[in-house]
Amino acid sequence: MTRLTFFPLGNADTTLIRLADNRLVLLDYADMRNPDDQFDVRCDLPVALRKEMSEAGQTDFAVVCFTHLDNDHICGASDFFWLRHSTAYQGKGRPKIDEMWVPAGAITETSLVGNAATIRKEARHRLIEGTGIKVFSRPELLKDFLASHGLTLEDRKHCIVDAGKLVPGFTKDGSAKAEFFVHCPFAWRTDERGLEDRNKDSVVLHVTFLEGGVETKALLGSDVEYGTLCEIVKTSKKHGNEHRLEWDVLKLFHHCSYKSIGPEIGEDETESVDETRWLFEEQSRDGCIIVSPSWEIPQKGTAEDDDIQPPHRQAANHHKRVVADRGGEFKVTMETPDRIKPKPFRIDITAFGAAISYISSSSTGTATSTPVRGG
Amino acid sequence: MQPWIASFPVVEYSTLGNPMAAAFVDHVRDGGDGIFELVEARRDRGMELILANVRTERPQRPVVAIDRVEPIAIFFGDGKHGPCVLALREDFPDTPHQARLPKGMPFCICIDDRPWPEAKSSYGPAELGHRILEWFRKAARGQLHDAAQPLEPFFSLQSPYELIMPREVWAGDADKVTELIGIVQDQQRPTMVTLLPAERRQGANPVISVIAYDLSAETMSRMRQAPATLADLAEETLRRGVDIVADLKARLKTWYADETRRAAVLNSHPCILLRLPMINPVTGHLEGLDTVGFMVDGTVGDIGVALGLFYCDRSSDLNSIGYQLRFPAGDPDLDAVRLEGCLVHGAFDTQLARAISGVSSPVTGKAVMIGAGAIGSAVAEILAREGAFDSMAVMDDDTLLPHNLARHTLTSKEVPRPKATSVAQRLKSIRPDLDVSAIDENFLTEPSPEAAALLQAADTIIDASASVAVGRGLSDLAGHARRVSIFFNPTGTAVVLLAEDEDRRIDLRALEAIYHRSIQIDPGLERHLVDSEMIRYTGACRMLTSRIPASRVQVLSGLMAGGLSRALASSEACVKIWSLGDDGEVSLTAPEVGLTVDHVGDWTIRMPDTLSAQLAAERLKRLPNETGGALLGIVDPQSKRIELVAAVPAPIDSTEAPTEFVRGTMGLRETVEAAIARSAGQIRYVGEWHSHPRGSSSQPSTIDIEQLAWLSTTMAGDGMPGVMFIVGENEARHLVGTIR
Repeated sequence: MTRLTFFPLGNADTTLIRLADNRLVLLDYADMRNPDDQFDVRCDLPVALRKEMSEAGQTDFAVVCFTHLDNDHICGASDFFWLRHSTAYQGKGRPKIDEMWVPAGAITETSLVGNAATIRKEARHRLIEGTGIKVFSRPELLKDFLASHGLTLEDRKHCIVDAGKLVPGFTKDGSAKAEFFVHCPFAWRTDERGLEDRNKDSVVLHVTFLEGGVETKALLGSDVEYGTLCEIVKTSKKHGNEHRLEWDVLKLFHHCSYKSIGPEIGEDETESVDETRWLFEEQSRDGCIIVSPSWEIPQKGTAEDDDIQPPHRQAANHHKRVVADRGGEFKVTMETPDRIKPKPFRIDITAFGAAISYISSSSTGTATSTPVRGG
Repeated sequence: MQPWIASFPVVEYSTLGNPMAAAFVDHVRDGGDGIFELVEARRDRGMELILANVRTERPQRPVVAIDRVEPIAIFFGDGKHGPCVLALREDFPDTPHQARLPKGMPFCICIDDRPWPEAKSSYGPAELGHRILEWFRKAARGQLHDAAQPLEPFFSLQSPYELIMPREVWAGDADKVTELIGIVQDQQRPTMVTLLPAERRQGANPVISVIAYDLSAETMSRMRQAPATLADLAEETLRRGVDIVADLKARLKTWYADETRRAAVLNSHPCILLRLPMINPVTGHLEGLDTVGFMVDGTVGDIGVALGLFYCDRSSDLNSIGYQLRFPAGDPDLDAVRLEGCLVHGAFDTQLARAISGVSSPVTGKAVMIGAGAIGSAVAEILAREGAFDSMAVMDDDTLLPHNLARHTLTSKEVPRPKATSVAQRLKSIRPDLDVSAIDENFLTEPSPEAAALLQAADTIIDASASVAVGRGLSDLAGHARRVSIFFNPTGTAVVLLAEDEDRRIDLRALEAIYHRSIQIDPGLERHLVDSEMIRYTGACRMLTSRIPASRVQVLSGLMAGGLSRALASSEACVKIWSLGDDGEVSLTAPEVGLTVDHVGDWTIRMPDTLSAQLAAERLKRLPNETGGALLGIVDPQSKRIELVAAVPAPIDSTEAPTEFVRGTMGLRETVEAAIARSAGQIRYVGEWHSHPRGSSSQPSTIDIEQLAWLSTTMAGDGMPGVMFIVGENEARHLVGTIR
């Protein structure tokens, strides 16, 4: 069964999609836990991921998508994955990445250090080789890079996916029973941006799952802000792609930041702008689930509430109202199942829509409920 | 909050006395997979309740209206039952796998249908939690109902009463209800009540008077909660179109008017039976009928008092029956009559037999079984328990003797009574609605008119007589009934089924030949009729004289009963031989049963297709030369039938040439005698076969005619014809010669 798994990592993103054919698609990898801090309740991501991989019967990932190269989306990645560009990352037991998905910025950005630099190296290596990579949009940015390696855009056309297109290799009718649609980054936005604007170039994907003849849709946001969302909405409407913004599951943008809703944080609830209101309130479907990959939502009047960093209580209130109107649910990774001992949790994609699942281990309970002795 | 729940005082978790309740609280506090949120604990009357909220894993679009979070109470009782889970939401949806609790109590979800003594060894708080979650998960996805499982196992926290209900309750029209009495048959089990039709009453006054209502109607749903009072029940039934108040009033007036019986009836204990349709809430389909029973706390007269018809008469007048008619009638107070739901067991009948046996396409119609010996009694009993046939007549003139008990289903109580009568009675006692009759006659003697009528009316006649003569006589008997023969081999290591096709094209005689052909050609059946110690030439090859244990008789009878049902479910003929190995392993021989029929003069000759194929193959192998050999078969001069069974190939001293075949003699006699011995003397030499060369038909040559004349003369001594079979290019033919 298709399932999405979310991990309690504080303000950090990691989403695992196990497709209908058991292939694994990982969106971001952020191993945030401090092993020296016994009070750190964030999960041990490598351990948790390996458990999921083993349950799925997989040793490698079909896809790892780094939505952008901020630490809270890539932390520890170079310690975990088997990377092609250097034997330093080819130790025994490291899971391989059949296909890496990155925004164009991950190829072109300069002055990167640590994990970000390693991932850029890997992405560049794959792009030069021309295999095992999809770069999302902004081909004009890649032009110079490719030229410096004696390549043209035409040579690497098969490695580039434009916004507004489906990612090749996955179909609703095929074994994956899922298709991925790229919303962001935009191909047509050409003005140069500095580091502080990197989030605007991060990958936003929309997945349509098909289970038992029923479509379930997930919008997997990364760190984009409302301005970018407005552009996504306008563009989608312009191209008649409104259905690519319908959602049953929404993985929140930027750890429940008010900035992904509107310009002002608000007193108790962030007010949306027209486009984000449409996206949240009209494109959500009944029984929808919003997942906030973040620390617990602060209580009003606490020191955390005054913190400028997300999660923002006012944004959470907005989302809680959205799901309440749809009979849905708002889940915070660090609050599930409870604040004291958060654990990874699953959303199953069923013929009846998305369903939160609290037990990650399999159980023999069903089988044992049938009497086995006849007489 | 439900008043019933509220009636339990809240207690501290730390004071919980039930070990599982305490363990469950610890489990949830320890994380409990995040499924539960504890609300409070309550305790009363030795029972403890844990109230909690469950996160249900409800999908976006649940099949039934399960909420994301559901309040529940887990009820920990006396240790005789497992924990019971109550759904506390007042508008909790109707689903499969909910137990029926009295009205006023919360809804009860069945998280485990195993008997508690079986389940408890593996039970822990995690298991309990998992089962609760699993129930909600499945309910929301419409997956609770397992087609193989009966809906709604009745479950009651309180009622000790169990009713055993005869099928007569519902035998009449829907609105005409048979009056029943309840009898406690075993005083050690006073709550186990057997209901009987009133006319079967023996002596004693009725203990329980049964008032039954059939609520069958298309649009009704099952009853979800058990009514706790007569008022609840009246409301429930009125919604389903039955006004039990009016009906009860009418009945009570009638009973009161019956001066001879009124004292007994009015002072008896009433039991109200309702039959309701069971609708699968998911599919909306009718899945069967559900019978629920309610014992009334009080007497029939007390119902009259509650209805305002009577008042209690507690005078010491000897003539008092305890109740007096009241004029004018008072106001009814139906809440005063309390009800207790009870478990109702349907009596064993054809329908139940088929349902429990899982027989989807049962063998129906009228059957006659000839032979009530070891195999007949055992197979008939298995078939009766499986719900096969609507009527069964048992024919046998034998008497049950002590030595029969080693292998028979009957008991020493039936010694020395006729087997047919006792077996028929036994079948009836197992399945009371099976129409049985006994014919204390031998099939081979002139049948009585009754026996003849039963045989003529039968759809199926089963020969279990272990007699070749009966099998053949049955084959020849006029009538439309399909016939089968079932028998053990002499050593009791195998059981044989010969089943005619529906249209009787392949009759028992032909099947007997095909059976014998298998014995001749199948290496595994070499010793089927031959005992290593002794060879039987008695002719009674099916007679069971060896020392055969009942264990083997039971195994083989079981194989036979199953095989017989399958054979009758198919329209085709079959021969099946199940052989048991030394360690109980079973091998099945199922030869092809096709044959061709040829009529030559007065004679009917039948040839198994596999034998024709064998001879055609021999011809091809020897081309361009002719070849041939001896023929073996079963001959019945009286009915002028020849059933060919096997062919012996050319002896080595034969002459095979393109224009001629001279059958030699070397080793032929030994080969033929060995074959006859292998058949326990059932087959014999019947003539010769030979092939014609390429381009030649089976037209007999002059030499062939001479050979036939020789054959006929030779065979005449045994009163048999000579048979010649010629295999030509594209066809074959039989020739029969007789000396008059």
